[in-house]
Amino acid sequence: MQDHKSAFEAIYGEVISQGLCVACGACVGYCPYLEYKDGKVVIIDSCKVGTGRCEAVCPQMDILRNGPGKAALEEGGGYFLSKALPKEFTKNAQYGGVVSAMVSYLLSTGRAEKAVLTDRGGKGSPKGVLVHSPLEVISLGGSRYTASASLSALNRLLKDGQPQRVVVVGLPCQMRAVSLMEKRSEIRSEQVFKIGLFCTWAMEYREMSKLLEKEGVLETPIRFDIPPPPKNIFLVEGQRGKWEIPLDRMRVAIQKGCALCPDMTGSYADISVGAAEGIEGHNTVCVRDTRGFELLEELTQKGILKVEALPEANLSHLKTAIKNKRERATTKLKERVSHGDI
Amino acid sequence: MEIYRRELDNSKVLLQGNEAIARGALEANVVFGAGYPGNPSSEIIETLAEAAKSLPIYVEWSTNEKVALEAATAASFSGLRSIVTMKQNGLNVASDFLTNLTLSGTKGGLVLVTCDDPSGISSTNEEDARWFSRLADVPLLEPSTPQEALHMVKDAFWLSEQIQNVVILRSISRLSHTRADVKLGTLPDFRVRPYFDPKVPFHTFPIVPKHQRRHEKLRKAKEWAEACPYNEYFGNTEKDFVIVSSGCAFLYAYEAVEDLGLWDQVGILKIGVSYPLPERLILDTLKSASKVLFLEDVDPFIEEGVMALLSAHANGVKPKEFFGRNSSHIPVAGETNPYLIRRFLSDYFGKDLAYGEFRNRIQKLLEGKVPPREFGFCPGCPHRGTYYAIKKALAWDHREGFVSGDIGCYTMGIWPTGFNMVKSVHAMGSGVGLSSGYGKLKELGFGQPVVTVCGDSTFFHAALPAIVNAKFNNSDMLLIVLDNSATAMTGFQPHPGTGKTAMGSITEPVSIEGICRSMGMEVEVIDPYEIEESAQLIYEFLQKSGPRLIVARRKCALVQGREGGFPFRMRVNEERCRGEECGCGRYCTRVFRCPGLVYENKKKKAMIDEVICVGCGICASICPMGAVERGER
Amino acid sequence: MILNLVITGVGGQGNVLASQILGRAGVKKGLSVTIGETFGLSQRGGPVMSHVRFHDGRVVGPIIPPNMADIIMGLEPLETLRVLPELGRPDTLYLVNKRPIYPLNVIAGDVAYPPLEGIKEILQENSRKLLWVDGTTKSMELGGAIFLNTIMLGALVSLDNFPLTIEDIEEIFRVTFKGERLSQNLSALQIGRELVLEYDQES
Ligand SMILES: Cc1cc2nc3c(=O)[nH]c(=O)nc-3n(C[C@H](O)[C@H](O)[C@H](O)COP(=O)(O)OP(=O)(O)OC[C@H]3O[C@@H](n4cnc5c(N)ncnc54)[C@H](O)[C@@H]3O)c2cc1C
Repeated sequence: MQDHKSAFEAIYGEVISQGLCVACGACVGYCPYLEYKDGKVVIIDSCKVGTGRCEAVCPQMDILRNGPGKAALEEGGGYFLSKALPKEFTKNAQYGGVVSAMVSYLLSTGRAEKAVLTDRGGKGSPKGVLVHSPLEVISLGGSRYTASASLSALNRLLKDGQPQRVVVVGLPCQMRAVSLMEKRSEIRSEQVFKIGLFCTWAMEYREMSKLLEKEGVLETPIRFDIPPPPKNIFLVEGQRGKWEIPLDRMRVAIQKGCALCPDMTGSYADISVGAAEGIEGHNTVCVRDTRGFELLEELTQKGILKVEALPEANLSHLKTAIKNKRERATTKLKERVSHGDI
Repeated sequence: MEIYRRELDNSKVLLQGNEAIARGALEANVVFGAGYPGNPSSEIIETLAEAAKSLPIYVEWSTNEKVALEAATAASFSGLRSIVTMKQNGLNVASDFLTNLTLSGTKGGLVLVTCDDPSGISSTNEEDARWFSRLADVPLLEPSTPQEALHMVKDAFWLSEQIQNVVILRSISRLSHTRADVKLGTLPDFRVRPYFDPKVPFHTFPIVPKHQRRHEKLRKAKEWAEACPYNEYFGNTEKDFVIVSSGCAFLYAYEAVEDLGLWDQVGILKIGVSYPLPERLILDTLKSASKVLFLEDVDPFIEEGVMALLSAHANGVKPKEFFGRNSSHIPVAGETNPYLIRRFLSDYFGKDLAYGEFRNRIQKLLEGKVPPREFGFCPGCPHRGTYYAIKKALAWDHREGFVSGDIGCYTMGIWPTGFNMVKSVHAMGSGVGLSSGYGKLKELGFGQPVVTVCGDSTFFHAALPAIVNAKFNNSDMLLIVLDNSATAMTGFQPHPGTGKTAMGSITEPVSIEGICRSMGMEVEVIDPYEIEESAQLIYEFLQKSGPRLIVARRKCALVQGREGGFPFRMRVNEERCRGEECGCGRYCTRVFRCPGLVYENKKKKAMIDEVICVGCGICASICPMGAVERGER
Repeated sequence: MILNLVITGVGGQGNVLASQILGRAGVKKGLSVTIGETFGLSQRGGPVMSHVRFHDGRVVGPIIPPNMADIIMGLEPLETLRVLPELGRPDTLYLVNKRPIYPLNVIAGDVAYPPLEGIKEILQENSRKLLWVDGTTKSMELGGAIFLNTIMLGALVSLDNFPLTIEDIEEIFRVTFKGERLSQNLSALQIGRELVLEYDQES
């Protein structure tokens, strides 16, 4: 169907120029044509290669062409309540530090040589980094609410073609992208451990910065949070203060492409981690495969994680959220089809 | 050619048109020369500057053409002979002073040389500067050969002193860059006594009488034109079909009439004084002609002058058919050339063009087979790096930014060699003036960032007032000065920033950063060879407001080549090179386009062309695979 | 008219210097010379062409009239092919350096460089004679691409009935160059001469 277009023309025409790119970074860092700069995947020049990976690994392209895909939790998976026990993992963490704990463990046991994480930004937006020491992992705890194209860091590894055991932490779009890379045999499933973060949407860096500046935030924030509904606020914490900004004032910064994403929990990940509504300092963890269960068990045994059953109220809230996001995306997708956009 | 050596007096040597003009000026006892470089005029001042190293004369590159004319006028007012040189655009710049000066008149002979560039071979426009002679009411001489140029310059000085006004000598690229054997005269002793007589002031008041006086001077020049040898009729006595022509077009016409065997049907009136026209000679030659063909470069200047003359004397002349630019028998634009002339004459007189069939056959045979040769920056050129950095910065910035350009080698930024970054080019310094305007459009809702580029020489020539304007009006202007330490386009002439004068003496360099800092502009310097760092800085500067300057500093690659060359011997690691595969898609050759880096179609790998590559090493940072490696020389 | 010679090539190949040397040698020999040069922006890797006309003092222009070239010396094959329809005629002699300098649009893959064999064939079939030589390789052996113009000059003046001799050029070199530059350029002239001699022997 798309044979006459180059891969680049497809991804540019159908995703980027349509404003549907969510800056996951799957197409960035592998070739010289696509780069990530401060919240945007930008075009340096146009590429003429017929069939290329940019088109094949783009999660938005996958949704446009193949629909919503995998359900949040298939048979055999489970939801848990968890938190990291050692203080070092929680001091910078967003909530329970489960992600930082898992990544540190995988690196220190040599099960992963490198971790693909997101840095804190500063001079410009947060972006992908390759990390190999647990100390660095701890220093990068916490959530940046802007998309960071952090998969560009994974691409840098793939470009050199070296077999690596990596752990990738990322948003649902990024988990989908990594699974597309696996499908293309760019990386073998057993080489890559995927830790997903729950996500409703992410903001675009430049828009967010502009809004924050208007709100009087004139520094690089250290911490963001969106407390559970009905609060409806965006919390920003910096060196010089704390700001509580009505979430509605921030909504214009949300990436347009996020509306197309059906996935709340990172369904393509081995393990996904999110907030545990109303239970401070804890995470909701969603485990999907044997590797996931084994890791969780090991960490529990070692006393690094505390794992319990997820309370019924949390589970039902989460399921509603999952359902809502999928329905919203499906409607959006249909709209685009009926408008002839795709 | 060391044309200033006295041993050469009275001998025959090979001289370029511009050298012949310079030699003519020297033989005329010129002691002051000034100009601004611009193809095809530059070699005149260069030659004189070389001569100034051993003769007691003064020669300078001025900051622009108006200043050059003003500086040279000081010599004239003090009774000395002076010459000013420029290209057609330069006369536009100088024209404000010229139209005033010609009212006040001059004293020592003052000859203004304009070298026009028909077809704009190395210009941003095609312009016929001869119109300025009419605008300023001054004589205009047009030589056809280097030999004639030498003589004409000498007579131009004489005429200037006779009428106490400027005389314009007009060359074109074709003549300026013709080399021919020229018989030299003798050099004078250059002894002069400069003196400004306070009793004789030079100004334009009272205006109307001065204007009247200017016309009287012109009338005097016309008398001289009637009898001077530069206007001459060649050919049969019937004078039925007459070609009126000047400059190189005269030569082409003469050869064509000869080769086509048309002397019994065609005569040629050569015009050497194109303004004021020799009326009596023209009326005499054309009164019984029935057909007149005009051949000149570029505009129908003589054509319209002659037509006006003939209408004023319509009673006494035969009705005529005119062929020329006005009648579209000669295209309204572009250089006059032998083919054009021969085609017209052979069609008109029913003669065969020699080898016409051969020409047509070969043209058909080669159709579509001879690709054009795209203009490009030299291997090692810093502009390629700067434009690449700008390209990246604007892509990152993502607000549809663009570049407002200017004149110099870097004008090629309008083409793929400069990644088509530059979206407008006009007169010297105009890119900056435009940008001072774009920088105010934000207040009217304009959201696109603009980068303006200008060369180091252009900075001093005409960009300065525009920069001050941006500062004065607090415009959001980002200026990048492409400082390659030379006026590279026109042949590496020094300028105020280089610390050297035309005559080679050392002078304190005028600092571009210093000027801008003193105005309170934010200033940074980048190295065009460090592409990523440069792009990052440009990107950061794009986010700022107010007038700001980045100096992109690297020596012109041609100069660097002469001064010891480059450090690297580049090679392509074929194992790493991805060629056409995904992840590269021939990025270096397809996008970066350096002539030293070619693509081997059979191997599907990039390759260094050792004949072309100079070893600057920039391309190593372009390759996404690090396959282009910097080796030792 | 004694001779109409076209020298064509690409900016940076030393075209203008070669024509100037020829002109000076011509004047020294008492010939009248008119040389037209076309460059400008072209000195930046674009086409550069010189028209060198040796004559007897008559009125001649700096442009050789259409299809009136006696000899076309091409420093680059594509640029030689380019001038063929406008300046060549069936009895023109071509002296061509066969090493291409690829235009940027060819390097970029936008257009193809015509096959060298094809260029050679077209020139051969539509001329009096073609000398298709590898001047660039010889030049690189001598120490760099800059000697190409001198090598080609050596070849040019060694052609039968050329109005100048190799000694005429040497004389100009002796007042133009010094030291190593002089000896290298003198060798380059000889290399050019040998190219022509060998060529005639081979064919
Ligand atoms: C944009 C975004 C939206 C989110 N939306 C929700 C939501 O709606 N509901 C919910 O329950 N949870 C959401 N989360 C997840 C939540 O904020 C926590 O990241 C998660 O609970 C893990 O907590 P933790 O304490 O284990 O993390 P930590 O141990 O602090 O580790 C966090 C890890 O996240 C990585 N990271 C930080 N920012 C980004 C980013 N922008 N992109 C990719 N990786 C990043 C860091 O590299 C770090 O390793 C979101 C996270 C992000 C980044």
